[in-house]
This record gives sequence, structure tokens and C-alpha cells, in this order.
Amino acid sequence: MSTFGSPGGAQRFSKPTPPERGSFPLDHDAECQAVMKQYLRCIRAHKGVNDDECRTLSQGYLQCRMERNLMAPDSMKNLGFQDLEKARLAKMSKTDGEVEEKKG
Amino acid sequence: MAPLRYRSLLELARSRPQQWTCNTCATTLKRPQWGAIQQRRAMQTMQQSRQHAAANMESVRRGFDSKNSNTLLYAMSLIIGTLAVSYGSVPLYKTICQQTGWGGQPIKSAAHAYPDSEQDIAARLTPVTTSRRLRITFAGSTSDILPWKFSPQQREVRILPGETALAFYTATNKSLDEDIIGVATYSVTPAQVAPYFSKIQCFCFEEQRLNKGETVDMPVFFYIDPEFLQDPNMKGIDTITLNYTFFKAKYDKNGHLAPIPMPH
Repeated sequence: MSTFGSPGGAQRFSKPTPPERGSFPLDHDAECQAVMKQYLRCIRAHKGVNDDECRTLSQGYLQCRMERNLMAPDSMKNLGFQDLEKARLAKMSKTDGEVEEKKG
Repeated sequence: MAPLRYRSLLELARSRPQQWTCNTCATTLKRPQWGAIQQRRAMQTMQQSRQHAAANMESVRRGFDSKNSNTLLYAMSLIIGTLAVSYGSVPLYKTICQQTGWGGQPIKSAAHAYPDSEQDIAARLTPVTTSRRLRITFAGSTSDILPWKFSPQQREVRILPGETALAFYTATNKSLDEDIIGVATYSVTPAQVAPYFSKIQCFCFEEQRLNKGETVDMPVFFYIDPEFLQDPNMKGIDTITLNYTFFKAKYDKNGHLAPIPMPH
């Protein structure tokens, strides 16, 4: 009703859209609080910039929730962590290569 | 010309309604354009000339009748037409804008296009490393009748479009006597960013029950759709604020969760 009389170009959709995967169940027992505190410390240290380090921690938090049945399990790709996964795999294969070189 | 004897218009109208003429008509109708006959009549008395003028006055009026009705019809149609256009302009404007996409109205909005494949989701959740970082600030508030303390745990997060981010709010039920159910709604400012602000998971729209004295962390997992960068309306926007408001809720007679309205 607040858009009555306004031109049609305003992109204000008055209905807020619900979240894609619904609502997080409440973490009443604070099971994942340690990871959360780590993540918040990281954010504060990086002055809010969502660095890869902090993103890894947020990934860890979501994994903690999934393990404790506080979140529907989902692949990391669907949660936007695919580039982190790729970087991690690349690093792992690189270190594997280095270890093999050392051995051989 | 000798000055006319004063007569009240009412007297004239009552005595001789057919024959009354206004002074202007009387003098103008006496002019030579009516021909030589009139010139001779100008010598006659005022009464007689007035009578002739009265006869001509009627004919003059008759000539104007059709013109008057024409004018009236044109004027009425103009007025009604203006009224109609002013009433219809609102939906008309909206329709035209939606069809032609004027003023940036998207024909198909990014937020409403549900991805149908994994690749789409993965493509949308890729951080756009070439863009500027958007600053997301957080605000939390509660309804006056809800005895909860509700605040964000971080002041701001700087993210790239397409990058998923986690944010936390903490809520404390200050009431020591009862468990309270709260329902949260959110809003995003500036308002035009709302279609691009996608939440993967959060704690809104569903009941959140806090036991007495309990403190709980509530996460929000969200991202800004990469199509944000293509929209010219979003060019100057660097700061986005996410507002959460908690309301007290209860189960009504049908078992549905309903918010308790704020007291006024």
C-alpha cells in the first residue's frame, strides 16, 4: 500500500522472500559456539573482510552444525565453498607431490 | 443619446420578459450592419427600437444555441477525459514500465529465477573477484513487548558478490518466568537491493523458542547475487544493511503461530 501512486519502476517487492533452505534450528546447547567465536575473532581481526581464512572457519561452523543435526546436510558446492574446496585440493595435491619428491 | 430611465432588471424581466434586451445588445443591434432599414429605425423612439432589438435579440440567441451546446459537450468530454486519464494513469504506467523495462524495472528478476540445476547454483555462488567489496552492516531490534536482548555479533562484513558469508546475532531471553516464542522478520536497505540479497539459511519467519534466561546464537548465511553488478541501479551502492526485528508470537486458536501486535 505504500507503493500506491508511485511509478512502476520502483523495485520494492513488499513480500520478503523466505530463505532458500529455511530456518536454522536453534543451537540451544551452544555446541558449535567455539567455532563461532573463532570465526568472529577472525572477522574482527580482518576488519570485516571475508578472507579465505574466515570463510574456511564459516565452512567449519556449518559442518559442525550438520554433524550435530542442527542443519540439513548439504554439499559444500551448494553452499558457495567450491572455490575453497578447489584451493584446498590443489594445496593438498601440491603437498602430496612435494612429499613424494622428498621420498623419491 | 439621452440617458436611459433607470429601471430595475427585475422589473424589466417581470414586465416584458420576451422583449427585454440588455443595453449592449440594444446599442449594438442598432448599428448600420443591419442595413438601411435599421438606420431609419434609429430615428424612432427608444421603446420601439428596443422592441425591434428584442426581436433580433431572440434570433441572435437562437444562432448561438447550437454553438453553446457544442461548447458544452466539448468541455464536458475534456473534463471527464482528464479524470479518466488521472485515474487510469497508475496501472497504465506500471504496465508500460513492465513491458518496456523503462527505469530499470527488470522483466525477469534475478531473485525469482529458481535455479534448476546444480551448475546454476554453483555458478551463482562463485565470488566475483574483480568487483569491489560490499559492506554489509547489521542491525537488530525487538518489539517493545518482547523482553529479549537481541543484537548482532559483528559490526560489518565485507564480501564480494557471489561470496557466501556467515553472520551471527545473539538473543537473550531476559524474562526469568516464562519461555517466550519469537518470530523474526528482516528487511534490507537500500530497498532496491532486496531482490539481490539472497539468504541461504537464517532464523526468520519461523518460531524461535527461548527458554527463560537462555542465550542463543542465531546465524544468518547469505550472499549477494552476482547479477547485482550488472544492474545499473546498483552502481553507487556499497553499503547494505540487514535489519532483523523480533516480535512476540503465540499460538492462536487454530494452532497457527501469530505475532502479537505492538501495543499502541
